[in-house]
Amino acid sequence: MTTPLLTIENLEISVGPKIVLNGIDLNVGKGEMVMIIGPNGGGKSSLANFLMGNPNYLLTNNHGLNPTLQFDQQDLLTMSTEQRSKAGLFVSWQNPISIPGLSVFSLCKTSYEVHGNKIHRLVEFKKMLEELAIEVGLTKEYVSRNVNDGFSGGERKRLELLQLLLLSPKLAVLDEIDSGLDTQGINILIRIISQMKILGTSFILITHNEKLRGEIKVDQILEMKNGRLSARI
Amino acid sequence: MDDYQLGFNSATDNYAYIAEKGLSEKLVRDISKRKNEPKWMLKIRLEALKQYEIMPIPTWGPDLTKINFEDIYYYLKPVNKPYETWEQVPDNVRKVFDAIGVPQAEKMMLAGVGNQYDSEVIYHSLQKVLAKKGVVFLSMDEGLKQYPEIVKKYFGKIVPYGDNKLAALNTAVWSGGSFVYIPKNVVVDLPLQAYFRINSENAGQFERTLIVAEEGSKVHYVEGCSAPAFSSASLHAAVVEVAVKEKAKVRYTTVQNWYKTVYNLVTKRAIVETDATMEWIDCNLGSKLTMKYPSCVLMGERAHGEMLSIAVASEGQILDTGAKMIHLAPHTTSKITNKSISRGGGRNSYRGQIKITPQAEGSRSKVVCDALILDEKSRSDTYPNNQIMTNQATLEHEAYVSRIGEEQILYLMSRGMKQSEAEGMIIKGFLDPIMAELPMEYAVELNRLVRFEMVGSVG
Repeated sequence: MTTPLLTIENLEISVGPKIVLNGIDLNVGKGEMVMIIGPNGGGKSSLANFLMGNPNYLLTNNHGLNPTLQFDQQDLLTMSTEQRSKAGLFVSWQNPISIPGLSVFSLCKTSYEVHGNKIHRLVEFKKMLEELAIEVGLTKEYVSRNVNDGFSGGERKRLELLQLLLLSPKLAVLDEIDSGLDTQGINILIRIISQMKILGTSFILITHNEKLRGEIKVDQILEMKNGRLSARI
Repeated sequence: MDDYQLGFNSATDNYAYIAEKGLSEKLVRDISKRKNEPKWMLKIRLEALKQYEIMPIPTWGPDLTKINFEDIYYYLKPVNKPYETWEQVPDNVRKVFDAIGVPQAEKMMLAGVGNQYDSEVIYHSLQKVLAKKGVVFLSMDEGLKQYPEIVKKYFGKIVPYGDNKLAALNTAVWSGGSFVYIPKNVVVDLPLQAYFRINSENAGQFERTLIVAEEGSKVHYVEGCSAPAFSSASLHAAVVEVAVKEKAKVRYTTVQNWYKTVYNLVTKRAIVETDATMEWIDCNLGSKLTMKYPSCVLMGERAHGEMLSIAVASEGQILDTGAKMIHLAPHTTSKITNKSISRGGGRNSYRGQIKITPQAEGSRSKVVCDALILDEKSRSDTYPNNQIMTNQATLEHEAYVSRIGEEQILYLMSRGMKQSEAEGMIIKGFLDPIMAELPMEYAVELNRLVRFEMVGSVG
């Protein structure tokens, strides 16, 4: 086991009256790739949402057990979504929403800057974004388009990949990033996350596609079902 | 409410003449006499007053019963004479204008600046180049003095006093507003701008604006409003009449930011002749209640009418806005784009009318309503009224309501933005298509005002 980056203990989460996560324990080490599979409605996306701080996902009183959510020696439970992002947590959303009127460029510029990066020349930054767009299988025109506005499912996932590359987080939770991607897109995904893993990024890869196991070095594989995580061989 | 940023109040003691509160025949005669008006104008005023007295308060829309018509000053005159140059304007008045940046605007090479300070235009400048082209840009009072024939030809012909109670009231007691005349084939490249301002408690504002664009001419008129803080309700009932002659093009842009106690009840209408275009761009941020439905009467073949509007309703505000497009001739076209943001319990309504008469075959109209509701307390409604009297016409109506950008906000926060930043970015994106249509300095001002409106939610 490498240095722990994310430690989850006794997590019980509800949305409205419904319990969606039913006592979760999970450790993710630095540079680790954790794959989570399981049926729809089993709680996989709930985990992603709760980790990122979606306000609709709430801790329950949990039968008196003490929940723990440590990330990089910080208590995520006390942090807002924005602070979690700045701390190096990234979620690639299952259905990335469109934001009419907000350009990909503005989104990337603002998020890049709030993560403490300096942009010296906008022209160069734009060029960098255009290169990233090409790397994830979009064209450079997408940088000037509005966020996910009129994008296909696969294009939305590619834009998530672009931001993953741009923000280079410590831990990336990829919620079904492979669904909607074609074969070429899957290959790009595999290449990007394999490289980032080598450079030290940790991943929680939520997927229905167990075959990815053969393409990516996976350190742990878990199954989420009825709001519970269990090890899978 | 108390920290309203543009709340510069200067003393009202300096008014040269303050009429008594309330409305009477004596007052109407008095106003006309003080302005040295021709008899025909007095006659119209008196007829309008009679009409006003017998017409009921409109009940088909928001509640107007809270307006105390007896408790309003119907005429204020701050100084005896309009000024020719900036230096002649008294200090206290200049302070207010400095605060809203008028001289800066002038430095920015604006075409002309007409400022309304309460019920009288006191400072007016018109660049020489415009005068050479024969373009007239005056206060309505001055326009009536210098060009009585033109005024007589159009005044009350596009919006007659019998149109509605507030139009009758305006016609009876109107004061100030702009008179714009663009001769045949003259193109005015820079926007003509007028800043309006109410500055006395209970000051009634009854501007009357008339724009005549002769054949083949082109003009963009801009009015921006920004009212200082006062404590009790004030009424603003303007009338705007626009005549767009053959092949002419008029764009009329309004940035309305009256203080949140103002009742803003405005009648705006344009008649649009053959191959002519009329565009209304209307941005409503302020007021307690706004009722405004700019209209285009498409009289000539292939006439085109357009309405682009933004409304931001916050706590305690009702913005009842929309447009009317009346197609009277063949192959006329119209488009209405209505964008609204409701927040903090504010309420927006879109009320629109498309009428395509039997003669208007081959006409087309498109209406798009796009509402953004930021919280559970706020509300947005649409009341379309379409009358299509020919088979050979098309009407498209699209209405979108986005209730809260909750998912959008989460998305942006997950990329490191604060909630207020996220909301600001979403709102800016929502409004961007309209901002692109505004003169640059107005887009900047509007962005600033929207941000200011969002204080608390936008950092």
